[in-house]
Order: sequence, then C-alpha cells, then structure tokens
Amino acid sequence: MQSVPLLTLLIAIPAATAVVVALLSPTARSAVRGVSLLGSMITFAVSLLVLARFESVAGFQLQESAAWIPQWGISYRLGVDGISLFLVLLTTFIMPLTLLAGWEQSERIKGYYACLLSMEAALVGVFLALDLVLFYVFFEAMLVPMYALIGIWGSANRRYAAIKFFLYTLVGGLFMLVAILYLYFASGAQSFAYADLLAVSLTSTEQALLFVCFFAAFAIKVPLFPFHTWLPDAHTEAPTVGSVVLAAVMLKIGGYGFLRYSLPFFPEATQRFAPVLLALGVIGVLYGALVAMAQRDIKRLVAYSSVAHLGFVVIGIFALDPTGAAGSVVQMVNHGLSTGALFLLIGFLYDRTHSREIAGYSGLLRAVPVFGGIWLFVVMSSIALPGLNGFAGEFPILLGTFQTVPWAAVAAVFGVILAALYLLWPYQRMFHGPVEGLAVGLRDLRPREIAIMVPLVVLILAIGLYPKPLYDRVNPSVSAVVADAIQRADVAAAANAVWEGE
Amino acid sequence: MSAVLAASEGVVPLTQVLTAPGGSPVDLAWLIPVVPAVSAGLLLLFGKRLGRLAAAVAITAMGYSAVASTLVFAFLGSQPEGGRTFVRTVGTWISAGPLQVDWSLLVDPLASVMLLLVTWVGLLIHIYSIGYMHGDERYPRFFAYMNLFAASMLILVLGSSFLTLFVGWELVGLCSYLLVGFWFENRDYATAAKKAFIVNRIGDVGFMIAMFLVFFAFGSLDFAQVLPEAATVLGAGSVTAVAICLLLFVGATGKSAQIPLYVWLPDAMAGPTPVSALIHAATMVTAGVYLLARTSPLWALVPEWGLLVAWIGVITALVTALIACAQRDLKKILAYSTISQLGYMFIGVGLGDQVAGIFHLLTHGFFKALLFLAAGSVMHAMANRTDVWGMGGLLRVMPITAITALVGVLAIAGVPPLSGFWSKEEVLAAAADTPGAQPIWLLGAIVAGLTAFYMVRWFYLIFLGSPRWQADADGSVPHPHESPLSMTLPLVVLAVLSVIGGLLNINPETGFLHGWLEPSVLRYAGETPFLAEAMAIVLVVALSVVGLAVALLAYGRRWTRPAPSIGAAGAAQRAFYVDRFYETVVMVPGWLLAKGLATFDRLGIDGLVNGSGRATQRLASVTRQLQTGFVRSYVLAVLAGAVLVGAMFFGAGVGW
Repeated sequence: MQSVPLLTLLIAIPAATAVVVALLSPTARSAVRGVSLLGSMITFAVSLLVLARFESVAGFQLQESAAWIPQWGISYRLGVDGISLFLVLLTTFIMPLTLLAGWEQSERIKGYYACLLSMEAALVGVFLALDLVLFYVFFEAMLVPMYALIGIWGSANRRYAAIKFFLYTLVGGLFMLVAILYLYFASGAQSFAYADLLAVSLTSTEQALLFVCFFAAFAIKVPLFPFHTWLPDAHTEAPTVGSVVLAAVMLKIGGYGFLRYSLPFFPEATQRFAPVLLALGVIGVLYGALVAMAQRDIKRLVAYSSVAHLGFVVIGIFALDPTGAAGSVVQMVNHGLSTGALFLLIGFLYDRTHSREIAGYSGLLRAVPVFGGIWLFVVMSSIALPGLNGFAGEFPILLGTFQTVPWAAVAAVFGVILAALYLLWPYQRMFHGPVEGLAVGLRDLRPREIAIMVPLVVLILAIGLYPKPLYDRVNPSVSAVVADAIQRADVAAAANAVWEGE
Repeated sequence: MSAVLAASEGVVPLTQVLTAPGGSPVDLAWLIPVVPAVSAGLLLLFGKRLGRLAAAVAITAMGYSAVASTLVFAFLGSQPEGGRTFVRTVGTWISAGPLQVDWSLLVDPLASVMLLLVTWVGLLIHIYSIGYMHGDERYPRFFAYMNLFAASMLILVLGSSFLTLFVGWELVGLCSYLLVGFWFENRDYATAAKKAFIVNRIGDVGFMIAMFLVFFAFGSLDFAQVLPEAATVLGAGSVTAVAICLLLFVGATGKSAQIPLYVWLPDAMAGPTPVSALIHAATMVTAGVYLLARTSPLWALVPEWGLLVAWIGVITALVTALIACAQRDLKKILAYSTISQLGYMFIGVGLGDQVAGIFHLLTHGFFKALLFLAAGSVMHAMANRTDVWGMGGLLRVMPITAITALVGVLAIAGVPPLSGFWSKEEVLAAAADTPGAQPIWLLGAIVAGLTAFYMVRWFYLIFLGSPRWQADADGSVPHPHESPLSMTLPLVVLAVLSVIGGLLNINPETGFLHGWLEPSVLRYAGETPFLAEAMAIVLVVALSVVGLAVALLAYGRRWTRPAPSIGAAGAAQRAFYVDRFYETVVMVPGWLLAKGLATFDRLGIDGLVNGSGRATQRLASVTRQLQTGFVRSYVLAVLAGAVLVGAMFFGAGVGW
C-alpha cells in the first residue's frame, strides 16, 4: 500500500519550484537561490525515500497511474525499476550540486534557475515514464531549458551550438515519435502504456524499421559515433551547469532508452543489429579517445572522453550479457559522477581565468593544490583505477562482453590505455611543471566549491570500494531484460525457421 | 621447444583452503594493507598540520604491518604443513550478474614471505626517508604516498583472486606515477612518471584479457576456484591455457620491466631515491614474478611456453646488463641492473623452479634496496650529483655507506657466500637442469660476469680512486660527508640481510624456502643436469670473478676517463636506441593518427552535418522564397523528413 505518490513528487517538486522561482521578484537573488536549492534538496530527499522503499527484484515498483487523455489512450504512468532507479538518484543528487555551482550567476538568475529545475523535472520524468507519449513529452520537454541554457548563458559561439544540439535531438526524437505512433496503431489496444505496447507482435521487418527509429533518438543522445559532433560544441559553449547536467544525466537517456525500449520491444532486431551497435561502440571508444587526445580545449577534450566512455556503455548493453549490461547501468552512474565532477572543476577554473586552453596553464598542482588533488582523483576515477567507481563499472562491462562477443571486448580494452593517455597528457601539461601563465596568482578552491566536490569525491570512492548496493538493485531488472530479449529473439528465430521450412 | 619438460610434481596449490580462527593473525591480516592505506589517507588530508610528525605516523603504520606480517608468518609456521593456506573474506566487492568478486585475502606461505619482504624492507626505507627527505617542502605528502605504495603492494600480495591482485597491481602503478613525479615542477620527471603509468597500462591490457579468458573458462576469478581446477578444465597444452599464460606474462613484462616493456624503469629513477629503492626492491617490479609464481598450476599445463618466458628473461638480462656497463648515472646503472636481475627471476619462474625465482626476488630485494639507499646516501653527500665520473674516493669520507655498498656489490655479483650467490646459482641450476634450456644457462652465466663487471665499475668510480668532482657552474663544490644515523642504520641492516639472506635456501632441495613454498607453487622444472652441479657453480663463479677483476684492473689502471660515445659503447650508452625506436614507431604515428582523426571529425563528419544544414536552408529559401530563420528552416526540413519516413512506415505497414 502506498499513500504518497513518491514518483510524482520527484517530478512535481522541481517543476513547482521552477514555477515559484519564476514568480519571484528578479531582484530577490538570494530568495531565488535559496528556494531553488531547497526544492532540489527536497527532491533528493524524496528520491532517497524511493531508494529505501525499493526492493531488489525485477519489474516496476512504486507504480502510479492515472488517465490523462483517455480518448487517445494516453495515460499518466510512472514506475521505477533497477534500470531507472540510480539514474533518477543521479539526477536528483547532481542537481543541488549544479545549483550550488551556478551560485555566482548574475545574469537573469530567475530564468537560469527555472531552466535547471524544469530540466530536472523533465529528466526524472523521462526515466520514470511508463507511457510512451508521456515519455516522449518529457524527452522533448527537456530540450527547451537546455537550449535556453546554452543559447542564453553560453559562451561565444553559443547560438551555433544551441541550434545544433536542438536540431540533432529533435530529429532523433521525431523518428522515435513516428515509431511510437506506429506501435500504437499496430497494437490495436488503444493505449500508449509501456506494458501494452510491449505486447505488440511485430514482423522482422517492422522490428528492424522501428528499431532504427528508436535508435536514431538514442544514438544521438548517447552520443554514438558518427552522431556525436553536436556534443563537443554543446559542451564547449554551454555554461558549467549546462555541461554538468548534459554530461551527467542527459546523455544517459541514450543508454537508458536502449535498455528500456530497444531491447524489450525489438528483441529480434536487437540481436540482428547488435554487431552494428557493438562496432559503433568500439569505434566510439577508440575514436573518441584518439580525437580527445588531439584537443587543445580542455572542455572539448572531456566532451570527447564522454564519447569514449559511453561507447563502453553501449558495448555492455548490446553484448547481451547480464554482467556487461549491469556494468553498463552502473557505469552510466559512474560516468555521471566523474564527468560531472570534471566539468564542475573546469567551471571553477574557467570562472577564475576565462580560458579553457590547455596550453595556457602550467604548474596548477603547485599553484592550487586542493584543486589539483581533486582533479587527479577524478581523473583516476575516469581512467578506471580499481578502487574507484569507474573500474567497478568498466571491468564488468568488458568481462561480460567478452563472454558473448570476445572481439568487441578485446578491441575496447585498448581504450583503457588511451584513456590514460588522453587524461594524463593534459594533466601533466596543466598541472605539472613550474607555475606559469594563467596559474600565477590563482586562488585555490573556496569552501563553497569544496563543499560541491566533497559529495562527489565520497561517492566516487564509496562506489569504487563497495558497488554491491548498486549491483544488487540493478542486477534483477537488467538480467531479466537481457534474458527476455535473448529468449524472445530465439523464439522468433525458431518460428522463422519453421515458417521458411514449410 | 617441443621438448617435453618434466611432469609437474606435488599437490596442486590451493586444493585445500582453510578459514583461520577468529582473532588469529591470519584473521586480522586484512589490517596489514588497510592500516598503511588509512595512514596515507590521513596524511593526505591532515599532513600539513602534522609537519615532521607525518614521518612518525607513516613509520608507525608500516611498523604495524611489519609486526603483523611477522605474526602471520609465525602463525603459518605453527600450523601443520598441509594446513597453511587460508582465505579470509572481508566482504563482497563486485557482484554484476554472474561475476562475483570479494574483497578477500589469500594468506599462504608464498604470500607470507612476500609480506615480510614488503613490510620490513619498506619499513627500513621509510626510516631512511626521515633523513633523506628532510627539508623537502612536501615532506608529509611523500610519506603519505610511500604508505599508499606499501599498502597497494600488500593488496597485490594478499589478493585472493586475479581481480583483487589486479587492484594492487593498478594501485602500485598509481603510486609509482605519484612518486616518480613527486618533484613534478621538473617537466622531465613528470614525463617519466607518465611514461611509467602508460607503459604499465599496456601490460595491464594483457592481464585484463587474461582475466576475461579465465572467467570464460572457469566462471570465477578466485585463485582457489581456478588454480586447483586448471588441469581438469583447461587440460595440458590447451590453447586457452597458452593464451591465459602468455597474456598474464604480457602484464608481467610491464610491471616487472622485461622486454619489450622495460623502458619505463630506467626513467622511473626520476623520483626521490627512497622511491627507487621501494620500486626496485620491495614493491612493484617484483609483482610480475609473483604473479607467475602464483599462477604456477596454469603454467604447469604449458611448460614449453615457460621456456619462452625464460628466454625473454635471459635476453632482457643480457641486453640490460650490457647497457648498465656503459651508463654514467649512478641510479641508472642500478635501474638497468634491476631489469637484468628481474630477468634472472623470470628464468626461474619460467622454467618451473618458482622457488629459485622467489628466492632471487627476496635476496635481490635486500641487496637492491641496499644499493639504492647507498646511492641515495652518496647523492645526499654530493649535492644530488649523479654522474659516477664526477665522483671517486668517497670511501674515506663516508665509510659506512661505502662498506655497506660494497656488501651489496659483492652480493649482486654473486660472490660466495653472500646471498646473491645462492639465489643466482639456483636460478642458473634450473636452466642447466631443463632440457632445451642450456643456452639460457650459458647466457645467464655470461650475465653473471657482466654483472660483476658493471657493479664493481659502479663501486670503483664512486668510492675508490681519487676525487674527480669539480665546481658547478655557479662555483659551488660539494662537501661530501657521511649521512645521518636514520640513513646509515637501514644500510647496515640491509647489508646484514644481504650477507645472510642465502640461509633462506642454501640447498635447493632441502632448503627452508623450498619446503616452505611447496604448498603455494607447482614445480615443473627439469631434473637432468647437463653438467655436474659443482662444475656449473665453479664456472659461474669464475666468470663473476673475471668480471670483477677486469673492472678493478681496467678502472684502476687504464680507463680513467669515460669511454667515447662511439661504436658499441656509444650504442650502449644510448641504451641501444630502444626509446628512440618506440618514439618513431609508436608515439609519432599515434599522435599523427590522433591529429588526423580530429581533423576528420571537424571537417569530415561535422562538415557533412553542417553542409546538410546549409543545403536545407538554401533549399528552403529557394522553394519558399522566404527569409526564414535559421532554426525554422531546419525544423521544417526535419519535420518533412520525419513525415516522409512515417508515411513510408505506414504505407509499408498496410502492405505487410
């Protein structure tokens, strides 16, 4: 029995806070900040309640549903399972930190905070929605605040980057919309509910085409090679908070979408196209790393590192192995923490010097040792040092992938060397050597900035040493999805064989 | 190499694994790595406030681990012979799908001797650092990293599965990165640190793929699950066994600095000298040898591939011994000598005489720590100068350093009855006894002569002869002096160990180590000597004496100036151009590839994206004759496309 609709609160609280913030007087700066932070903290607290109530079994929990537009079969349905749980928590956890990071924002502060909070609502909605129209609405809704964040508060080339981001995602989303509509009409159940559309039986050709449509939406989000070029621009031009939300949470919709929709809806097509996805993932890992190596802008470099890291995630999912897929879910969280932390740190640096040029820095470790120490810590998490979180996700991905698709694991494992190269090279360039250039007279992290980093550092270490609480909750759902996809694909293959035999 | 080696003997290790009684030293063994790790964390957070006290904290932590390790060793000794293998599980670590890995320790005779080496030698190096690092502005941080280094190595030694061992394996890589680059203001040092990390990572890839294969074959990464089952699951000579072993060896060549991945170690002496001692003696480079000894049941399935390991070991030993003969930097000579001695250890473990390999690992730990600390003492006295040609005659001013260093030199040169003699002879005996490995024996004997030569050269140029040092550019002249007690005391202790270390295993068949390690390793070495043992020993000793005499005569009389950089000597001085080769063949093309791909990304892929955007815009303005905004034209085109695709879907759907 459930009296309080927790999941609805997770969406409603940030949304309502956004409205409240919008109604406040533009001069009430501290009120705007205080209310926003409070709203996001309450949301985080509620998400912890969800975690406490969550049971480590497969299937959706804490479900809520209500009719929305019954004549079209559109309903309001929410639910959480092991795939979405930690992505929701990641969102609610990262948001207060992001708001704190934007504390010094002086221009149009109301809009700024309202954008972030409405984005939180939409992101949580995407992960919790169990009706495909609802999902689509949230999927598109988060575009607007992100577009605004980049376009209004971004740096020099923001207009180009914002439009590129917007169009890319929109195009992908429209393909998905078409596919959703097709599923709706094919089902005949007059319902957009996840469970109803899951039951639709499709021919191989239908599966293939619809898979490709969903793929368009999710591949762009991940982003998967060669649909990734919007990401470096968006990251470079976005304000710090935009980059953090983008990297930490928004990119995860890609991996989440593959697991939630592509695998269960189109098992046959999944198996058919898995080699393609795996190849793109491997290319992403190696190509993203190599291109990252050649960047001169530190933010761009980290953006390309995301292409490499999320390549691992895609590999883990489409290897169709329970270990690899569970690793992928955990790795999405880990990437959110590590890359979120890196973008926050870059933001702190940028606030001081207004430069992202790697060559402009030298001797930072001596000049700003606390900043340097935390940076190196996060870098080590990002290059998957055992004992920190990155390894706890990456290793299961690779080991799991090897069990079903050895070549993909062997190829991707070289990304481990490249990751060390592209992250240690700029570290050495910027942090080692004598204090020169922009590093001279630089101020180390302020208490507020340290307070933002501490929770991230603690989680990076905690998940690295003891990822079990995550895996315990992720395993049942992911294993079920993978096993179900394999089994249904096999059944379909057997049926086809019989069909052809006749 | 098809010669069938002697069948493996004895009980397969880890067949019987026990749980230690609560409260026993083995039950508490998890504290051995955790205490220095926690100390490292505290020092990193609060070290600044502690100042000089940081050393006390770090040394106390190391002292705890050393005493606890000794208790573990004693506890194992008190157990019956068949019951000295324990697994202590602390908690679950990763549980992803069927992959289950615990934080757990394997405490057995092999681990226990490694524990003793790491903690006691580590402790001595910590004590030495009080004096050596005195006055360094990052004094507390140095001790924090040293603690972390020891803790990482202890995790490596105690790990009860491939993956927990790998944790320590990677963490020592991190610590070497932090410590080699400790004086990071110097860009060369920072580069050396990065090189160490990257080269190690290349080896790690081999280790990781080996683990994937192990899990594929066994469904587990636990040593206690894998090793006893190896013969039944894989079978002798199976391709999987070969692949696993060779991939593990790739990892070992990285960490233990063997061909082709040894290039990081000579540069790694950029760190403060105690760090070099720690890396070369107690931690890090011994890891690869340990890994191969630990996985001996796998190697026993493919002994002919162990021969390959031995070959790589001896070639590495030979090449780096030659390089060592031509170096001028007192630490670089020692660095190449480490690589060379590691080659010996790989001969031992490769040929299935793991006891010989581990024996040499232990004695080398004593005398190499001694030699590095002596080198540090010299640098301390000589205002951080490192060129042996700019020294000479230091025996008179720093007698303790000189005499202890001499002990180290004689030990590594294999002069009986010092420790190095016993362990080196055992390694070479393994080669002599194995069919097909006789050339390895011969080359190994030559390396013994070379070792004596370059070590005596090292000693002579530093401590004997007349002083050759000159004033710096700024006119300062070093005033050499003996080092403080905190530095000389560890030297004396290590010198004693270097002398008596051979007692560990005086007789290869009945020695202490032989019996002690029996439950941990599966021996597969040959037993057919091709020449009488006494004769082999005499030959090797004779070669060492020749090397020793030649060096004494040459540097005493003739070679009073460095050899010109031409011909073979020049090539050896430049380390046979291996670094240059890697740079040309790997680094430059890799960098060009990265640059090329980045350009392709910007102009190729993104060019296509932007091109299509512009085309759409033009199309829109042509067809509609409207000055639409940038966004709107894009959206329009996109919508049109989506509708089109949708129509196709629906049309097709009706048709199906």
